[in-house]
Amino acid sequence: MSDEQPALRVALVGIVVVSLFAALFARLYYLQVLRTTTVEEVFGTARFRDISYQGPRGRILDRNGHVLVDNRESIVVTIDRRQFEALDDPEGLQLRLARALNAAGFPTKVSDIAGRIQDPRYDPLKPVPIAEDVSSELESYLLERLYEFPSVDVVRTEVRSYPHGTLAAHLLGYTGSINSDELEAREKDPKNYEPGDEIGKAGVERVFESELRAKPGVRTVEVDATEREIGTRSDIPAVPGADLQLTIDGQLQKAAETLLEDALEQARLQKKRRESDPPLKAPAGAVVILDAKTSEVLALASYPTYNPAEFIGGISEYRYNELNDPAAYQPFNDRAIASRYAPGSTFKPFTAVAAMQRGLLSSGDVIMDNGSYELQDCNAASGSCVFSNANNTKYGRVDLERALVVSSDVFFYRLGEAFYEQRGVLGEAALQEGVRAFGFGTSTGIQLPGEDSGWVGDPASLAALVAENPAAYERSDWFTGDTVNMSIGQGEMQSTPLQLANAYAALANGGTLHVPAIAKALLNHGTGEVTRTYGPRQLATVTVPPELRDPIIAGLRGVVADEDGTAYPAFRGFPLSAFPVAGKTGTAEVNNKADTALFAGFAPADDPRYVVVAVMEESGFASETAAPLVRRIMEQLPEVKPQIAPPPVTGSTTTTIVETTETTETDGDEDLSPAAAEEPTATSTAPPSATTVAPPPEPTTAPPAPTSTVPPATTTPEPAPTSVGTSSPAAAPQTETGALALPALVGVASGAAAIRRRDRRRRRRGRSVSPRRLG
Amino acid sequence: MSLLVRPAPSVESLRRDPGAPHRHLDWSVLGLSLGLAVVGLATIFSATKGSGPEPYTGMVARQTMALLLGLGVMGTLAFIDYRKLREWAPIFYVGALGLLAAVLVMGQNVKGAQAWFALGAFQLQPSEPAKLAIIVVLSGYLSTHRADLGFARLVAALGIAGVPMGLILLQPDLGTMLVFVVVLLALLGVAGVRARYLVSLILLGIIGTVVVLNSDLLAQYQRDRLLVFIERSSDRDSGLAESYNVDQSETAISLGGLTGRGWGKGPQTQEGRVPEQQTDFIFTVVGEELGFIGASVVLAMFLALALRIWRVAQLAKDDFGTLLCCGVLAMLVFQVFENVGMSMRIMPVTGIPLPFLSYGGSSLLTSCAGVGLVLSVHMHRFR
Repeated sequence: MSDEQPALRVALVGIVVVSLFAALFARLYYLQVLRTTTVEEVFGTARFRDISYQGPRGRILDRNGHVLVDNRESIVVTIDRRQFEALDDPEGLQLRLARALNAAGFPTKVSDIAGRIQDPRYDPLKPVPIAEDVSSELESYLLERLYEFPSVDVVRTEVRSYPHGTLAAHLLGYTGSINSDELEAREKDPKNYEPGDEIGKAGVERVFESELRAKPGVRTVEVDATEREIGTRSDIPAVPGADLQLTIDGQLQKAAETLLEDALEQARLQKKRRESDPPLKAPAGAVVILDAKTSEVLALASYPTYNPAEFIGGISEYRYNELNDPAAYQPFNDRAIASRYAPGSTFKPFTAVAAMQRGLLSSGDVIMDNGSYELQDCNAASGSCVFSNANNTKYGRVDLERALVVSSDVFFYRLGEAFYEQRGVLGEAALQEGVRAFGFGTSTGIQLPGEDSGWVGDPASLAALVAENPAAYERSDWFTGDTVNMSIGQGEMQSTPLQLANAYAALANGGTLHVPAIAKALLNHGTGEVTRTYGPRQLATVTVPPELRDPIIAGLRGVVADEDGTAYPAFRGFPLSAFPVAGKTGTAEVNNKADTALFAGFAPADDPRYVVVAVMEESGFASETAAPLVRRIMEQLPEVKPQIAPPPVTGSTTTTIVETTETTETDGDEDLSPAAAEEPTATSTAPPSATTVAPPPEPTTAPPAPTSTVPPATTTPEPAPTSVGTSSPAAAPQTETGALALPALVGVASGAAAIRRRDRRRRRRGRSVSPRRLG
Repeated sequence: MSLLVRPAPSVESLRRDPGAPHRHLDWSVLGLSLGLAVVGLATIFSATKGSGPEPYTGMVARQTMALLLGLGVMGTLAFIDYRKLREWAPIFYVGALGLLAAVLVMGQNVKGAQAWFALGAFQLQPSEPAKLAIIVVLSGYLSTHRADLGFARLVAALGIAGVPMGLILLQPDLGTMLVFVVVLLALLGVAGVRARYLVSLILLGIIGTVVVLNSDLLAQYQRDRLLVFIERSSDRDSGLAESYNVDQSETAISLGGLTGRGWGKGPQTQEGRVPEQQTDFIFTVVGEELGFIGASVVLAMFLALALRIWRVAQLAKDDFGTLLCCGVLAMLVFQVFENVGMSMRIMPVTGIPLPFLSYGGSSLLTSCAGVGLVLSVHMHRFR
């Protein structure tokens, strides 16, 4: 540079350059050090998306490992609502899709598709299922042509499968899409529920939801501004739900259900005694089988029933209402735990225990039964004063055992009034306290939803009810008659079948009341390893010393074994000597309806293992309906089954005891049906005698077991007239209120049909005459 | 200028000749340029690799080829005595004007500007080399007439610069035009044009722009194009798109913090939220992924390069060398300031590439060539 000025100017340029860079540095420092931004501020949580996916739900097994509820893959055609709504021609798509479905053999109307899309039941953010269980051919057809079917997709999902159809439907329950209330309740659930997830809605599916549900897997993906996945950050695989092993014995459950259904069908065929009688509709019933020692539930049947598979993919509102329709007898209702019935005479043993515990009765006490009972302390205010046996049958001198055998109401009326008379000493509700100890009036606590508490009324509870709703009651005072009625299981006494069975279990095992158990164990989904077991849970102990219990057990054994016993005809031919049964019939009055038939029993009587309770609504006499039903169920018990001879080929047309054929236990075989083995060889493979039953079969069972259709006098000779206890002038013992039941005095084969024939004969002659005299 | 007559050097003496050009290669300028270009390759890779399992390397490969070509150009220009360029200036000038005119006729219109020639798989943006041509031509003219830079010379200089600027405005490419303006003012200032002329010039320019825009001199479409650029350049009040660009850009730089998100790990960058990121907004990759420390290093490299060029301008043997260096300095510094400033919302958005870093062969070649001129001035300062 030759002069100073340019050098100065160049220097100036340097200053400008440094200033400009200083500005850049300053701004950079401000943005990156003074005012930094975090990723969360910019992206929020939007940057990563957690995509959860389901693992397999745990299976449900019976106590022997048979699968009751499984999973299977279902191919589902779906429509994405948002894409669908953005279509130019949604109607055209519906039409094309309906055509494709119909062509593939899945009849679908355009209106069906439109209905599904508008159905608010489906999560608005998730694709709506249009057709479930489509073929894989249709799947590939559609997937290859998705451009022709915008917004349509075909996905494979896991759904529940029920290998045994309706078996144990009430117990198992079903699953469905989670609703908003359930979602809210499980907001913090570690198994992370999302809209559209499946959740147990009823039965053990609901109660054991937490155990059965798989812990969803979570794939965390990174998405860009347009929600495109640009990578997977982490993937936590799903943990399958635990397999739930129930205490249920699938074969017994199957037997209980089919036999209950058959028995109800039979009951409907009965003829009414009198024209004025309410019709024998026999629409519904329940059977409970418990382990007598632990109250594990071996079978829990309720009729009518439903198929849980109907709920896969959602059930229509119409069908749902149908299942809850009282006119259709609410197939949805699990009668075994959720319906309360007057237990009738099945309740008498508990009245007796309560009376003996309080010194109102001792085993030697005898009462003169003249067919009716007039209250000792009778006044106009206490309601009716005279209580009668059914048909006013006179049983003469009866002690406790005899009273149970013949089902003398008068005996228990007397006990009822004794409770009332002694209320000053024992308290206003001594009988109630006595029977509540057996669990009546309180839910048993079984792990099933919707259990009813039953009802044991007392003066205080009646007063409370009246105070609550005075208009509904004509009276507010507890009468002597209320206690008297309760003593025979009527009136202010109602029980669920399960409560009744559980009380019998306590009676049978010497006084230990358990919470009926439905779950046995949780198993690891893959390995089958037991991860948790559910032991019996003791609820209470009732003190029933042998001197109290023995006469009751003797009476209950007499019910089936004594020729005067109300269930003697029903149990004829049953191997009672090898497998003694103790039980009690009950025929309970219901307003304006035919009687409820009940039978509660346990076996073997000397070392009880099983409690079986059957309840049949509007079915008439227990001795002709519920008792034979329990007999047939007991024939399916593993200890009894081998002893039952195969039925005659030309045999039953009216009764179905075909279940007696299958005796071999086929391990791992999914088929639970005892009646499944059609081939005659099945019977020959039966072990000659089960080790559990030491004595040989009773002679009566050795020949082809006569069923009720066998004409009278063709098999067994007429037994000698019996009169157990010299004090029984009346030969036709009666059972419960207003109902005739006959002991098996006539020489006909056991069974309801024979009794019916006899009853018809008797009716023609007008009065209830002793069949013995007819003979 | 000394015109000492020296004997022709022998091979022996040549080896020892302390003034030989090859002995005065400025390694710092070369190293800084190369370093910045390598940072450019790394940031372009990060911005364009995509999210797939196989990173996309197409752009990096092309840029690497351009860099190799650029280094060749740089070396060639470095070893050519810059004084010869003054003699070739008219050729550069005519060539540049020819290309600028031709691109208006035959060029490709990309994003609203008729600024590119398609040469097979490559594109050439003639306005980039035209910047250097103008630097050479103006430096030559001003250094020749340094003694008497009167009003007439000033007008002549303005005329020399004005023709290519007009052609570039017709593309229209306001950003590059602004580089011309800055280079012109810098050269006029360093060459010694009086301050009052310069101030008047700036005022005239502003008034002229307003008058032209409001007159009927330009066709409607031309005016529209200009208005679009003027509107675009004021980011805050302009359309959503430009505002969005700067929002995303500023956010990305903020996210970098002190130490950065790590190379290839910038959330804004990797999700492609910053538009034009590998070209005009390349600095956001540096800011987000390398943080304040890394971005400061890059800016410091630019500053060091600028100061080194400034030093070469002072060391230059003659006024032509000084002016050449100042022209290149003005070009580079203005582009850095405008580009980085725009990324950080302290300058309006214009389409000016960041030298050495932005993806684009024409820009990289021009930067390399500019550095080549500076190297030549430095190497030939004793000969």
